[in-house]
Amino acid sequence: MAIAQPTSTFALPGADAADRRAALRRRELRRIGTGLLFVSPWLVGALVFQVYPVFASLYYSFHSTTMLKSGTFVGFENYRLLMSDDLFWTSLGNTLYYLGASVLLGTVAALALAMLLNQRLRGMAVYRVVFYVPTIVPLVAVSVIWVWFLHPQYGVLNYVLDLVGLPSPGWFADPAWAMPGLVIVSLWGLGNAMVIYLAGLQDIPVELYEAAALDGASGWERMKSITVPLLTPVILFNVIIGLIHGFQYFVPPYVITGGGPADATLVYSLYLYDTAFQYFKMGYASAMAWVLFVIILIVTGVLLRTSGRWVFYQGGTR
Amino acid sequence: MIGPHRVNADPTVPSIRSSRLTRRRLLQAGAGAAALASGAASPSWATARGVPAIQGEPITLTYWHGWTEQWEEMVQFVVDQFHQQQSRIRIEPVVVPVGSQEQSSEFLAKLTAAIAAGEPPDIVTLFGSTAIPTLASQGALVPLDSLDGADLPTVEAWMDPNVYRLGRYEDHLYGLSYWAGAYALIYNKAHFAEVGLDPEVGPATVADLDAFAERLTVRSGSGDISRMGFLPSDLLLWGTVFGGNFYDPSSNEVTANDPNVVRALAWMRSYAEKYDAQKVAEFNEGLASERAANLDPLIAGKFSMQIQGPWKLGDIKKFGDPNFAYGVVRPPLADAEAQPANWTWGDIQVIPTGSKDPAAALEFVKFTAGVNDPDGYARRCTWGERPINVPVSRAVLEVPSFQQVVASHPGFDVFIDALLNGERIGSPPVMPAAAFFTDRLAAATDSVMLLQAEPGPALDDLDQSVQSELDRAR
Repeated sequence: MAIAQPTSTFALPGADAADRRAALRRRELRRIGTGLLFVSPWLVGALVFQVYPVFASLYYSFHSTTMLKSGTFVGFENYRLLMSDDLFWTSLGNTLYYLGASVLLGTVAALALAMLLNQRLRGMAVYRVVFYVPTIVPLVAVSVIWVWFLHPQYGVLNYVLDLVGLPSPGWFADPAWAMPGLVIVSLWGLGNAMVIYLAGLQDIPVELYEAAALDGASGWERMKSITVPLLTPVILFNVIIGLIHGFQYFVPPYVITGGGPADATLVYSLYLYDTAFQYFKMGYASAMAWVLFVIILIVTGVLLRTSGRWVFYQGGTR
Repeated sequence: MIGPHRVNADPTVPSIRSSRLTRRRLLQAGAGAAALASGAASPSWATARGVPAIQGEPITLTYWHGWTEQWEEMVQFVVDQFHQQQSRIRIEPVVVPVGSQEQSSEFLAKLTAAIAAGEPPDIVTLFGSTAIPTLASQGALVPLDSLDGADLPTVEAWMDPNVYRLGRYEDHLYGLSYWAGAYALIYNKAHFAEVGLDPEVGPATVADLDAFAERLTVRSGSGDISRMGFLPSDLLLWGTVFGGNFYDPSSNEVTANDPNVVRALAWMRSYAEKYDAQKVAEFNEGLASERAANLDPLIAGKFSMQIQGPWKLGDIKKFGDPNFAYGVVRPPLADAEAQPANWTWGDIQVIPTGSKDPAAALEFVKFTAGVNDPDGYARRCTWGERPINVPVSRAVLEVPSFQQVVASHPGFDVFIDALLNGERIGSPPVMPAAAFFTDRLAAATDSVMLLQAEPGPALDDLDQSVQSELDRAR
């Protein structure tokens, strides 16, 4: 080994430097090796449980794979069938309905809450916790609770609607109201978005408000011209996250309605789940997953592309 | 069946043939050396599963079922009886939740995953026969007729033909049922007396049923239904009662738009029209939550008449008010001249491919179906003392302890007569796409009962979509 060779004072300086560089590289390599070893549980996990399944599902989507048979290569047959599958379109339509309503309402509600919780009041920390806490409750438990809140005959909400003389819908028993019911359930979990908006609000320099106040701007004008424009990057982030979650929406319809009544809440992921784990058509379900991926990619891409027109970054040109 | 081309073709699906080969090899050589040899020679799943037990050597079999609460104790009762009868095979029951949706979806997903991974349980109870064609057509189940000691003629002679066929798919037998389901109408005598109906006379025809239901239904001031006289919900039963068929196995054709099925669905829809579809749906929604809280709608008086299975009689006796007086009649006929009909399903024991000792598993399967053991089976199928379902064999009807259960549970005989007297008995269609069929049937019934679709077109659509699914699956 090179290290065992004692370097003479008369040795060429170049050779010495080369030796040192080699030693350094070895040490660096060892360090990288140690580092990799420490992160290997994550690496192996990611490779085995994420990277491999992603590519396996792409492979299966071109095969007639079932849960128990590896099947044969069918080319784009699964994708072609999907296009003529009524339930595929029904479930996609239901998902878009849910998505539109929940993202729109969720954004408005979370933003409004964040603004309220951004006031300087005594005990504000308590209010913030109170509004965040529902987010921590597991989705299955939330779903079961909402079955009772929105119960057509014994539910609290219909009781209140009755008291004020409004008609009380059948919620999960009525195809027209089941989806609005699920959207209401989704508002229960807006705590995450709310906290992000809150952080965004606190990021807005106070000087801007002071300057606007000196110029005689009203509260509404300050919100319209300072708060909302400077929050647009945060809004963009939350809308994208909301869209992705919305496309993958699964637990509440699975627990509450099972897709009913009459397919009114059969959302995309639920139909995908049924296809894979109830009808055991893994190849077809994989194709569905990839179509969903492409849809999410396109929607997100379009959103990011067009965001330049309405998103303002502090210090940016617009 | 498991075709020869499938043997070892797919390492994730162990085949029963190669497992038998391993055993033969094992029996030929000395035990220790052979175990090593077979471990080295057979595919990895065989070593992972262990080698089949030599005749006489104790073996423990894992048994998956989905029964919870009181029924979990019932399974333990049956297993204990099996252990008392012999000491070689130990059964280890494992409760696997069936899932929140219909059709045991989570149970089946776990089962198929276990089979694909080569680590299946040794015996499984399937709730209903619906999944058998799907599983069998993919080679996931061991055909019982491929096993030594199956002795099918004896089994066939023991079992009622309508129950025996529940375990069949194409030319093989894949499972035996613990017992058989049957339906009858249970009614609340106090409600009958309250509205001036004779408590001793239940409805004989659908027309009677409609008239009785109208008198028995109670609405609150706001128009909400607080008590429903009767509400038809199960198109499989009523389609059969009206003389319809859902599937023609000889031509592999889905026939859900059979005029008689359409007629049955139109009759069901008349309830939605008469009682306001929305109010009916809301009433049903209420029941779903009450079931979750273990409140029985019939015992709680939410229904005056309900289609039920025999286990309800045991529940009434065990959990109901001792003064709860009820009557039981067969499902009302479509009209006075119609032939009586009923619907059956089973809780069926099957052996998944890869089970470590299918021959030993078969012994337990035959035990649960009571083959040629009327006395023991009479005890097991009644959990010692209560109606659960209809026994799979007429031979049990002669057993004194069983006669006692019948005598002490008025109405149990109605269920037994309905199933075991050679009447027309429908059962889940024997086709690979049965899970899809069941889901689509539920959605079609939903949309008709919510007055969103007409029975004929809804069933035409169902027919078409299931047929194309079926054609692709075959």
